Amino acid sequence: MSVEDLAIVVLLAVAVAAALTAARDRGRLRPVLALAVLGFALAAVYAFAGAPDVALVAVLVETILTVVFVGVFSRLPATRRGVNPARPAIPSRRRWNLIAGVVAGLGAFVTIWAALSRPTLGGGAAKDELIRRTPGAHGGDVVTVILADFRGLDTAVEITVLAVAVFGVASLLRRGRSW
Amino acid sequence: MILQVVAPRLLGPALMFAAAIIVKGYADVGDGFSAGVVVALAISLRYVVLGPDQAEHGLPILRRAPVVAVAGLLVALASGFFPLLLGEPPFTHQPGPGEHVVKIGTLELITAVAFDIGVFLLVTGVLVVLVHHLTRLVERSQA
Repeated sequence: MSVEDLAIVVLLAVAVAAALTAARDRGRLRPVLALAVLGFALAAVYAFAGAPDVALVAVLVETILTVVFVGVFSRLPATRRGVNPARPAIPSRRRWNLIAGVVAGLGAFVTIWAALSRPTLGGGAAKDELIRRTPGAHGGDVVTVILADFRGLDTAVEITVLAVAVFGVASLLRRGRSW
Repeated sequence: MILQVVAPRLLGPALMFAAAIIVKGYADVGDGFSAGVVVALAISLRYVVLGPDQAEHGLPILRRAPVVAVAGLLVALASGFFPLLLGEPPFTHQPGPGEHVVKIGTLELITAVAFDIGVFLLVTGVLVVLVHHLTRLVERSQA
């Protein structure tokens, strides 16, 4: 096991601990900060795994998301002694919750394991093709070229959705006005 | 105290950094989206530290954030769909493969960069609108 593998294992351990904290903690600020830690740990894993573009975007999005999360949570009504009224513990449902959680977790684990174990067919010809065509699009970074050029239509529709979503949120908060 | 000094002054370096991300985006890591989030983070620090009223009083252009977002969207869509006028598929960027490109340092003058600048303006505007509303809500709930 190389040093990089060790770093990734440590970061994944941090991510697991942060995920458990986020799920189990009944406070408000701590789960949000734990989610942020989870995101940053995963961003560091991407950086080690040779995906600096994804790591950069993950760090930035995680930061702004934490700010937005804290802003939204500060508007929730106050709770008594950290008890969440939206999630009362019903004893009779606890067993079913546990079973449902275990089944969902096992399903996700098996799916991801199967997807990651399956060898890529044809040795990734599409990847080579994209990298070969990148200089033709006057670019050096294949990720940016894909976003702005090869798959530009996707990006255009995505940013349109982003604009529509934020103006929807704004008019909900301001009862019909966008500012 | 430190934050109150840093928050208003961080915007300049953030804008420089964002410009660098866009300019080198085509040759290296980064794109318009990352640049937009960097600027929005600097602006949101300003909002959180100074409060929405003071933040916008010192920098009135922040009140134009919805206009900036819509302008960015229009720039991006225009640079994506203008080839339709020339009878080509959308997102056929000019100049085409193998043609000569005007370069200013690392920056290449191609329509894909215009699209990226549109994305940058949209992301910045959208996030500033969001932070504006959230900080206003927080301030009213504390008042």
